[in-house]
Amino acid sequence: MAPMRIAIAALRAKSAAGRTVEVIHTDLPSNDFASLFQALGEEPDSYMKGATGVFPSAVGRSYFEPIIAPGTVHLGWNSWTLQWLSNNPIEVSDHILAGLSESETAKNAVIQQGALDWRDFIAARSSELRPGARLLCLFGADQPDRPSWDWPFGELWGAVVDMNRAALLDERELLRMTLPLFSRTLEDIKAPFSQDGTFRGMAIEHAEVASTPDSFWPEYEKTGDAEHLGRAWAAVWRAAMGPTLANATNPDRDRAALIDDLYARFAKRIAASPRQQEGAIAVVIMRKTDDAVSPPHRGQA
Amino acid sequence: MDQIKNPTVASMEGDGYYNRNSAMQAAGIARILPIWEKVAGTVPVGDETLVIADSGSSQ
Repeated sequence: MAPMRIAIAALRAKSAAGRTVEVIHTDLPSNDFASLFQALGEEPDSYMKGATGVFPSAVGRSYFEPIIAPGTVHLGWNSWTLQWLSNNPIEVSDHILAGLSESETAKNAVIQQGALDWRDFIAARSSELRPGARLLCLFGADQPDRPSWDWPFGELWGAVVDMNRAALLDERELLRMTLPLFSRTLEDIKAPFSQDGTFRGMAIEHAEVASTPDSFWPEYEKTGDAEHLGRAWAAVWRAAMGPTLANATNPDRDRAALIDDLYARFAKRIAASPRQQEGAIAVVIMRKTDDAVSPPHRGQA
Repeated sequence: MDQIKNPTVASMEGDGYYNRNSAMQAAGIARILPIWEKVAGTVPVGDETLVIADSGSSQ
């Protein structure tokens, strides 16, 4: 809520008071938009609290193609989604992330999909932004030659393997549990802009990959409660990845029970070997140039 | 190695579960809000309706 509230105030500060503002929320069609609009109406920190002339709406489509009218957006915000790929290019049997597999083929498949998705995303947003508009993106990333998220994903894979050994997940399900995630490096982020500093009418104003603090570690250091640490990690990891992993199980399964079991095992593994997570995030700010750009076609950015 | 693609990329956990369990994400966002405010203040504005897009909004 805070990013939208800040954006509304900043744009209105540059124009007449009470200026009409449209806020367009987009996500996959399966997103729980009902909860979003409930939060907008009820949460104390909602940007709609006491607001007049602000009109929220939603688009239920994948953002890897243009989904908002061309040349209309002043400010674009995107947080914690671009580590997700548009689809899973390959499945592996030795890790929950193909990018952390021993297979070079798998690693390359993920890198290629990540590069394609990044270009498609930028091109699609470029078509929606007005000249001079800005787009800020925040997402899980990697430092060069140093995976940043290998510990929690390694423990999640360990939980999957535990369930496979206990005959609770079959071999096919284990394969399908390859998560379509990819952590870009700064080099990956800058690659489309390498020729002349622009790509599809967008220019990078700021790009960095920086470490992000472990939200749970300070409390663990204070309490020493490893089980609580495990449950905290499980809740966050389940919130983001639970539905995708549930879809990887056979349709005739009790999917909710399997995912309960999986994250209980994950929590136990975290509690058994607690450590401070050294994650990395990318922060990228792009500006739409004045150049006219024709709308992109998917995969041809 | 299985070459079959799995197209099933799902949304975040629904019914507000993601909102209640995204402390890590919230910490990352909080860190960049000063940058965001600065960026928002640089955008040229005319007489048109002001439009903000929240891509991948979740709940």
